[in-house]
Amino acid sequence: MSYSIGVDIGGTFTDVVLIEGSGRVHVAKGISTVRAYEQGIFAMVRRLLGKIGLEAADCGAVVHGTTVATNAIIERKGARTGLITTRGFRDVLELRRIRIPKLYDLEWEKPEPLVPRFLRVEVGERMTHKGEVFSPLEKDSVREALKALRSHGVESVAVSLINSYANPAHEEAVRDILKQAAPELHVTLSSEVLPEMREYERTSTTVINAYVMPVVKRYVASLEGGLRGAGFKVPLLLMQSNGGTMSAELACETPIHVVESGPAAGVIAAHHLAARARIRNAVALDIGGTTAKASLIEDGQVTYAKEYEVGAGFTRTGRMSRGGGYVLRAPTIDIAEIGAGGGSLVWVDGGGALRVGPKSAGASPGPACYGLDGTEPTLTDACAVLGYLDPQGLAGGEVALDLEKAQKALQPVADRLVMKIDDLAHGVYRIAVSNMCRAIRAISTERGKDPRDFDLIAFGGNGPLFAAAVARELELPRVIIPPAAGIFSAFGLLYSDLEHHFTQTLLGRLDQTDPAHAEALWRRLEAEALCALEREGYGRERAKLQRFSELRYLSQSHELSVPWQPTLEALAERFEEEHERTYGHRGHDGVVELVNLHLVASGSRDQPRVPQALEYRGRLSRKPAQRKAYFDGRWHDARILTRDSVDKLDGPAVIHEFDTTVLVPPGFSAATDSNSNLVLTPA
Amino acid sequence: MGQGLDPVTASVVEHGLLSVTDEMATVVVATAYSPLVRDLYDFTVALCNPRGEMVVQGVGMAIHLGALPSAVESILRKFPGACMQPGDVYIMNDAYAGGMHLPNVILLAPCYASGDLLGYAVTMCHHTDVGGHVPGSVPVNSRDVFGEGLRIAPMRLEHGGERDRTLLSLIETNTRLPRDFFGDLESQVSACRTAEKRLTAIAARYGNATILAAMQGLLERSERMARAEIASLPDGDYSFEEFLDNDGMDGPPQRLFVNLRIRGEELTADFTGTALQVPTAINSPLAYSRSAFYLTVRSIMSQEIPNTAGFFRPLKMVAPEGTLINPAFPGAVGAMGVTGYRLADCIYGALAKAAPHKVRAASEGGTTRYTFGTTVDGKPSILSEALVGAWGGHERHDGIDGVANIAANMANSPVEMVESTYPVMVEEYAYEPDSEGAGRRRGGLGVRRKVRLLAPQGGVLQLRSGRSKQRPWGFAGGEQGTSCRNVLNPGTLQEKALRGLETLHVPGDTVYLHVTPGAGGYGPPHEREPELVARDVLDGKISVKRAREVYRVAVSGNGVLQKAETARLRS
Repeated sequence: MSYSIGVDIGGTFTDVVLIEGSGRVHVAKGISTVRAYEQGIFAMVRRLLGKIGLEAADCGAVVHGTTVATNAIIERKGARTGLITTRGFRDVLELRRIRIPKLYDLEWEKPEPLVPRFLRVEVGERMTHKGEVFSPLEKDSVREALKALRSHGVESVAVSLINSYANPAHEEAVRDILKQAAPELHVTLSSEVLPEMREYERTSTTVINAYVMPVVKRYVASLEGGLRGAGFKVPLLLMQSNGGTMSAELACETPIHVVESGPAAGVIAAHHLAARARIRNAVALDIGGTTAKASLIEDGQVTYAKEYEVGAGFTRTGRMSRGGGYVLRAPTIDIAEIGAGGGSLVWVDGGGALRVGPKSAGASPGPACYGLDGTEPTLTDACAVLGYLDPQGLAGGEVALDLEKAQKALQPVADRLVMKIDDLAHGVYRIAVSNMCRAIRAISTERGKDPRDFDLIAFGGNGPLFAAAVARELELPRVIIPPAAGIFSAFGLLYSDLEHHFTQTLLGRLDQTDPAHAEALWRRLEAEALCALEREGYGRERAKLQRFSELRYLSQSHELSVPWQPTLEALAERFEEEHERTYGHRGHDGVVELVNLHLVASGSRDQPRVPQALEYRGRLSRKPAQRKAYFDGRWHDARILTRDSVDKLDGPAVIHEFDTTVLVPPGFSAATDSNSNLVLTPA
Repeated sequence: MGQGLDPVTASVVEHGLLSVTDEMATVVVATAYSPLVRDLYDFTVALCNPRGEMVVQGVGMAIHLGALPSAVESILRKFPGACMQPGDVYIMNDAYAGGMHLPNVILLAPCYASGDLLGYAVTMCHHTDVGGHVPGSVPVNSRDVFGEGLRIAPMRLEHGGERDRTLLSLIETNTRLPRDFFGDLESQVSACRTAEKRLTAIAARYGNATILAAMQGLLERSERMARAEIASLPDGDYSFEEFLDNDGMDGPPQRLFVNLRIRGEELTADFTGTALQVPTAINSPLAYSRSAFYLTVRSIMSQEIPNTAGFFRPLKMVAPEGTLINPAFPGAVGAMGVTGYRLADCIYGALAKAAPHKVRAASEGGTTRYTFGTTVDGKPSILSEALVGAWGGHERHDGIDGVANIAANMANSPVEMVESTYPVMVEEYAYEPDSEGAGRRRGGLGVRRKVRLLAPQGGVLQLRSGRSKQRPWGFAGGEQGTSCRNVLNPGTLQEKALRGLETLHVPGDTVYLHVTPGAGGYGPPHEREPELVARDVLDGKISVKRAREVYRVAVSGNGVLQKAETARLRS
């Protein structure tokens, strides 16, 4: 009997979800084996198969959301990488875009470049912006460059030459020389990973690809080898930052696409839930131990960003605060992340203001109330004091809860601000909520979208604890909490489709664009896309192609993406509408410029991996009870129950689950829908 | 938290206000037309309360943020808030009505919720051209402000949503680049409108009184925190002098002088003793000078202080009229940056005596701006680039190579964007080795930018750069950085060294090289860890010779530290 497995790795936990063809769901949660993630995965999968009595050979799909690429960048543990660039431009990578992320920050330090200066070497060549050869490639300079890089033991090489977006010939010639002389080198060309204008962004992206490539290759080889050794026959699929899956083999060539693999899975799960529940507009909110991540599902579609910074930190979600991380320009699900999670530390700043996060106690030492080594007050401690958490412990009792320790940790803060401890704890809770709202604002109001038009889908270990309060703050009409919300992201892996993005630049005024020429380019892109899908086992009948175009007013440098239209006039009108909706005005002379054709190609399966009806037994079962819980300035008698016993109820109530806690504050009512989701609505 | 607002509601509303300015900035960047605004980020956004006090300094340039209050004041003096109405937008750029140099065009829009004034949204963009005798409107050789471009006194650009066509038409005929001007202007208007929409939404949720109270709370908190910071500095008088290279032409060096008086929780900067204003364009309008003062003091304070007008309150300034930093009408101010940035260095020099643990050695001395104006297919083409920069050494940090000046958080212009938009080819953009001010914590390296100006008919090359002679200072035993260099056709028979401030016609196919200064170092160079020196040699940032002679560290050409020899050198 066939089944599918999703493996989601987070900083603290590894979640495995196994769904049988019958719809039976099995889950396992284990501490991530940080040194060698694959070892932990093997152990968990073996245990799970043994427990259920399934054969590895019958497995229909293994989809993996991995943090291996992100961690390599953030922890600076990528390959020793060299950069070959045009003479005169050795420092483009390190000069970056010059800006710093904060005002007045004299103690700011620039992140070390992923390739240090001595590993950045120049070659003689020059293209013009029109793609004409201005000076030919000096092949000897390439050989010299190679010699220098090899003498330093470089394993991977990024090649990024000025104006190569307009003509890749020189980069390709460099690759040929490198490959001929040193076939073992990993080589990444900027003209292949990002054929776009702007040398810093392109170089940075190319360098990231080169930097993580050997790490991802080794990880994939080890993981695939282990799975094969265990009897698995299906090829491993990885989740991409754009929410589609990709064969692990292909991911090894363009690992930039799996850098945000983990966070993407949760959004895909939310997207799937939204589709089934017929929700057009939703905010997916994933709150874990250290961060809250928000993403928008609009008009039934996931929203994408074209560029982000890896490792920029999350003190501010404001998109204008650039320069803190490593720029990566690749399509990714647009996710705003802020340092607000269960482990967020509670503190008082120099001006006497109460603060929560962005620093976190993480899994170790953890919140004080977990009774590990934590003594500093955290958001989770505040929740414990407020009576929101199960005194019998979390995860069905696996993690004990020490209320006294929580109070002890918070008391000094309460004393300093001269507040009662329950008022303080509630203040902490509300501030955390307002921080979380900033993540949502970053992807809604800052994009010109009104959050009130969106339902909230909340998940992650802490999502359901804050969801109602976030919804109230931003006036979101409804909150949807899926079953198994704490491991929801792992489900997303199994819902995702194979997906590839193809971009072709077609720069020019729209009113001077030849529609026949555009059509010819579309046809070529589509042929390429079909070919790529075919290689991964998806024939034409299972291919889905969607045309988008990126447009702007002539002279702007930021594009808006709109679906391609039957005529160019219709396209211009569609763009102008979108511009007005997003930014509030139309251009004063209406001259629209076409920049890119963007094709999204996905392969759909004959049968969904996940059956319609799921049967999940990971629930807690406990007799309904009552407990004091603090809401809106006073203590209430809250009903305490488990999801099984919820049909329809009014808050205040606390619903305990194996992997999360759902808070139903006064003024909200909760009901279960036909898909076993809890739906909270303000009364 | 002022006005009896509970800390939590205050914090929630504050986050909302911060989001408003973030969103304003997003709108500007996404919709502006000129490379200066959309790629270089030469713009600023802010929110003010109904009294015109800045309650959120948004994303932008520090040296603009402290200058905006004068502009806001000037607009409100002419158009009191009570006389404004929804849908109004006000505009100004006049250096002698609280503005800066003329390209910095300020827009202000009142924001209302249910008929009540909640405050003002303010944006400032550096427009690429506002007329005057030099393309790019940042002349260095003007004799008075009349020659520098179109002066716009505070005026109503939009009344109840209706644009003033006469004013627009006047502007259109006075700029070389009307399309860029109006594209950027639209982005400013939209940013203001967006601010009003968001404020209205917050007001609908929390009520107008709460927003006003939160604004008040922000002001009071930053004032309180700033006062505490100043109180933590030892009382005393701390003075410093700097010299500008010249008077903007061939005259002698010009003195900038400050005496910082710290008494309790107040700090007064007295600039008496600064040179008189000059008959060239390097005079810095009072608003701009004041901003240099605010930003330097603010940057040695905690990051946690809300960036509002509250932190200005304990800061007093004495700047005699008729001096370089407070020129009398109609003194020219087009190249104010030269003086404004150096004023910041000068104040840092004085602060270094009061707070040596917090200040960096001198930076590169400010953004170099060069413009190349020509015509392409009969239409004006104006390339305007901002080049920086380096930070000086600090007690706990090395300087930074290649970074925006703390006063002006601008981005560089992508080489490929420049080449595809203007008739130029960039031949080099890289660090200048051995340019750092040596020190235990070394200064940042200078940056080279070499540009071939291709336009066959040539054009006007306009340079505004500082520290051609007066090098960035080091401190606590750290050394000076190198000076700035401007060269035409380097390495050829036509090679010619230029002054830091120039306006000249160049023929087609001229090569222009600019090298920014290296920043100053902190602490004696021979105390620098040999491993760090070796690392810089390996990276080609410092030569073997310099490592040996200045740092007294022996390193081989491939960056290997020779320990025994180093010990001998340092003994």
